[in-house]
Formats: sequence, structure tokens, C-alpha cells
Amino acid sequence: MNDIITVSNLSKRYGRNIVFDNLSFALPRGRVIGLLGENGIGKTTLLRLMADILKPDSGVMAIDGQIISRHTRDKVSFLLEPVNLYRFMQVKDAIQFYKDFFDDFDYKKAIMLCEEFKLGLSRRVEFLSKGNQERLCLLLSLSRNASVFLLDEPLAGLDPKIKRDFVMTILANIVEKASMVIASHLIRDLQSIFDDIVILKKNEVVMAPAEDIRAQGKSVEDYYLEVIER
Amino acid sequence: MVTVHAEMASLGIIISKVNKMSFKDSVPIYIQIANDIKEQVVSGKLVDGEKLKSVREYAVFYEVTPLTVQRAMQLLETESVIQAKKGIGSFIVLGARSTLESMMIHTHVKEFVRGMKNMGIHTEESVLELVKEALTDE
Repeated sequence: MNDIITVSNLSKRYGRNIVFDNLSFALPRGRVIGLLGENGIGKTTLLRLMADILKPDSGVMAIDGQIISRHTRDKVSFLLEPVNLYRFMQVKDAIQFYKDFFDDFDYKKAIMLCEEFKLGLSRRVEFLSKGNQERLCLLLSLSRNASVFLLDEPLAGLDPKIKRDFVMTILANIVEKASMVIASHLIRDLQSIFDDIVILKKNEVVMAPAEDIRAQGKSVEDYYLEVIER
Repeated sequence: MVTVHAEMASLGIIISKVNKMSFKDSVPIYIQIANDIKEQVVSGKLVDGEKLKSVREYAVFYEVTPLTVQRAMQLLETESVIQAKKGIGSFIVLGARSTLESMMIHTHVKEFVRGMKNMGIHTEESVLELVKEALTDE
């Protein structure tokens, strides 16, 4: 089975606002997937559905052939946001907390990443800079041996140096046979690390391998604009 | 250059990094990486028989996914620049440098001749005369 995530006839609405109506597609295994689309099109909703944080109104979504539910949560690593961290904890407590929570957590890797990021284990979360809080969130989510990693705008609001550190860290920590879905508007910063481009349009999903796009003499950004505007 | 400490590399952790290779946006990256490795062979940075970095190390070095590096490696293998040995790694094929050099020379010469033709210089004598002139100038 080459697809890691399958979505069949997915519908989701918030009140009168229909986000997805009968949407079907599949995402391949072992690849880094760039999830692109205009603001408000449903990228975050889609990631939250995959992580079982939200429930679909109808339709079936599956990971590794298993229908998404609380039982698939341990297959999915969802990038936290700093607001999700407990402010009173020290860095080492946050790591321990995550380790207790997820069986697949690689404690050694988390500690190594802290060293790499020069993040002191005894520092209190509430006194970390925004960049360091983001670093802690990234290292917690990358330290799992999950099947699917979901990253929603991982580079938003970061300075160029941290952005680059993040890209390198993501690349160095890709888990074999796992897929990573990265939702972002920062196409230029991330295009070289996307194996596949998935563009969400109003009730439509357009997909292409990034190298196929370039083989046609187009940049990923050109392709994105072309798809959005047609 | 990216330095990856051997012990930490197994965990996929980067220690330090400097300049990133800049890729053209609209050419497949695996082809650009394959070309970069070929240039390293021709310039002698990589020598015949030398073992290449691992896919993961190259992925961090070039800032691309392991999949893209794998495709570059496959391309280099079909072009007989490298040879993959299962479980050991990939190596520069013996004689790769001279093969690549002659290939590159041929490509340059062809491009040169095409350029001359485009400018209306067709005959052997006129091309050779220009070459001689250029050589004396050097």
C-alpha cells in the first residue's frame, strides 16, 4: 500500500460555512508533502482532521488503512504551538511529559536536539524567547517515531536564521517510510524540501510531484499561482 | 559546507553549516545535484574510487529531501559515474573523471560550434582561424 493517508467523501462545515464537500484524495507514503492553498481554504482544518483534533461531518479518513480516531493518534505527530506548552514547566519536564504520553517518543533524540538548539534543560518554558519556544515545539514533535508528521506553518514568524535551522532540522530528522505534511505559505523557503505539492482549492485537490513541475520548466511558485488562478 | 559529526549523524543532527547551494527554481533538483557531483569529480574534489556521503548526509548538505538525493544517485548510477554497493555505500567509478572530462569537452565544443554557426561562421578555416587567434591572446 503506497498511500499513507486516504480521504474519501470528506465533508466538513463550520455552521453555514462549508469547508469540504465530498472531497476525496490520497497522500503517498515516505514523502514530504507541501500543503498549499489560500488563507481560509481549510489547510489547518484538514491537518486537524488528520490528527483527530476535529471530526468530519461525514466521509472516511484513514491512516495506514486504519480509520482516523483516537486509536490512530499515536501514529500522528502534530506540531504543537507554543501556547500548548505548560508555561510553568522546565524544558526537561516538557520532554518528560511528552515521553510519558507517547510510547514512540525518542528521549535520546530530544536531548540531542536540545543540545543542537542550545536549549538548556533547566530553563523555564515561560522565560524562553518565542524562537526557543518554537524550537522546543519542533523538537518535541520530531522526536517521535510516528507514521505521519503534521506541521502547520512551521516557519511562520521566525527570523531567517531560525527558519534555516528549522528546515535543516526537519530534513535531518525525517523518519524513514513516514510522511510529513507541511502546510505553509512560505513556498520559497520550503520548495526544495517538498517531494509533492498538494494544492487545496475550493473543494478540489490538485497534486503533483515537485520534480515533475520543475521538469516542465516551472517553479513550484509558478505552478501554485497557475493552479490557484485557473 | 556542512559538518556532520559521525556519532551524531546517526541521529540526524547537524552541528554547523555555512552556505547553501542555490538551485534554479525551474530545473529538477535531482539533476542539479547530479551535475554538482559530476563537477566535483571533474575538479578532483571527489576522486575515482572514493566513497560518497550517505543519502541522509547529502540531504542535509543540499537541503533537500532524502528522496531527491536518491534520485540524483540513481541518475549518476545509470550514467556510470557512481556504483552503489549494497549495505556499504556508493563509490565513484574508476575512470569516471576522464569519462566525464571527455563528455564535458565534447559538450563545450558542440556548443561552441553551434554558437559560431548561429553567427554565420560556417567554414572550417574561419572557425580554426578564430580559435588560433583566441589561443594566442590567452
